[in-house]
Amino acid sequence: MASRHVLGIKNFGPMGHVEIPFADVSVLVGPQATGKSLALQWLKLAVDARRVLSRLKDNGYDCRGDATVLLANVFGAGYGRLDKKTRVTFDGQAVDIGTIAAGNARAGAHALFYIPAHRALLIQSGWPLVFRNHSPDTPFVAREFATNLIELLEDRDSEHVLVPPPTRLRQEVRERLDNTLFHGGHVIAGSTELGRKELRLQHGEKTSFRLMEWTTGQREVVPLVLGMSWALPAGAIRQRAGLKWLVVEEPELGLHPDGTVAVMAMLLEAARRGYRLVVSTHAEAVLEILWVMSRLRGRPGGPTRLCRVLGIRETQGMKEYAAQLLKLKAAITYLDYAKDGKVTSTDITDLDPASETLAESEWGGLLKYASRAAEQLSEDA
Amino acid sequence: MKRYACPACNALAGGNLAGYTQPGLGALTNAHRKLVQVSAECSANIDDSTIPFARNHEKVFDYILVAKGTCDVHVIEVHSAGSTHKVTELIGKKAGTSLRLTRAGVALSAKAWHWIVDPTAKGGICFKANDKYGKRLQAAGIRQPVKSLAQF
Repeated sequence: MASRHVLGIKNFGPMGHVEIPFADVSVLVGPQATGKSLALQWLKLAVDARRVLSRLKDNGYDCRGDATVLLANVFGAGYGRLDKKTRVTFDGQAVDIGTIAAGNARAGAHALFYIPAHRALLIQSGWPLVFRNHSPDTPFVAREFATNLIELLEDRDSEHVLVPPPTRLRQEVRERLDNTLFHGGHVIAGSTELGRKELRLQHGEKTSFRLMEWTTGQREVVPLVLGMSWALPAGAIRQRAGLKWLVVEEPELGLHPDGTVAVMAMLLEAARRGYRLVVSTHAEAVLEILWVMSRLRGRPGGPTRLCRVLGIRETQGMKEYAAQLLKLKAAITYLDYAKDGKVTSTDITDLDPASETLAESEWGGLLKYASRAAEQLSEDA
Repeated sequence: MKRYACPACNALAGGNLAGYTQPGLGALTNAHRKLVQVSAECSANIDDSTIPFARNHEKVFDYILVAKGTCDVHVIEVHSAGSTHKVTELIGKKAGTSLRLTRAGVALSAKAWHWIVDPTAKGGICFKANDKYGKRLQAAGIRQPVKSLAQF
């Protein structure tokens, strides 16, 4: 199992003082604009600082040792102003933007792969935009993700089924994705009359849909699944060389809760392979899976029941797979505004519905509205 | 002593709950029997069994039902679900029932704990499986309340 890491952030964006612990599967929840994405981008910088510099340099960006230029290139142009009170630590060590900007770039495999919430916006006219073609307000992680997609797609032709990935996932998980999201369709890198490649959703031999004809959920989920294909090598190789972390923002975007559960079945495969999986979410279904996993751990029928929760076939192989998932440890952090107007963090890993701490009993606010309705009906009776 | 096809019924009829155990749904009151449409080998009224001890009779589930055929043990409570406080009450009753059965020398492993909404109470069901009250109930191993028990 992965060792525990902690990211600490003081005075950056809306965050006053935030401490985020990481385990095998880590989840960030909280209302909009509480800094979840910013925190995860700091994690990227903490883990891959010199490689971030290298990627920027390779694409013609020179930070000139200037912390504010680096900051703007990492978080987007709007963040190019340094607050003197900002302090970031990772495992107790300072992550200093000035020191990083003044340091040397180092090429090589990134240790953290980031699938951003912007993923559907990064594909235009059926193909990911190259690094320099994104607007300056696009965070580094989004530009980096589009670059990784191009790397994955450039040597694929219309013969290759890209999604659901035929060799990267267990058959049962692939079936689950297909039955829930694609209903027999598959995504290929097709060609236009002029030979320009573009992603197409193919149903049978004759029906082919271009990007803008896909459902919203498909437009959101296809880049995510492509990203997972990039991160999960085929065959017996468990992890990409050097890659240790997998960050996925809001896997539920555009999806029915059943689709969210199918995607979680795929994401957990990454954690099972040994990646530290980090997810930010507004979906109750994500926390429900972790809650059930914590309660089924060590139970004799646990693997079978987890297969049922994930909606995957209860084959012997999948029960063994589920038994491995049940060994994963979770860390769940809730970010929200405190009375002083700054965001703070609360560890709600236990997700105890009987907890006296509202943040935990209401699962970081995700159960709040349903509970509020119950209370009003209760008082009315 | 009547011999049943299910060992759980024989355990109930042969122990301290003997006087409260009946074939089929016989231990249920007439009003409650209308709320249960399942076949039982036997049933026992746990609530009534606490009255002679004059203590905690309100803090246990109402009945044990042993399913015909499978012989699985099910525990039933008919209770209002019109207030969120009832969730805490039911969780307390589950603990009280386990204690009562232990004291009665009955060692039964329940397949499921069921909550049937009392049709005479106000408010219907005021919470849902996906709010914190529903989740609390799930965590305690009690099924979400139903208006009648049509199947185990």
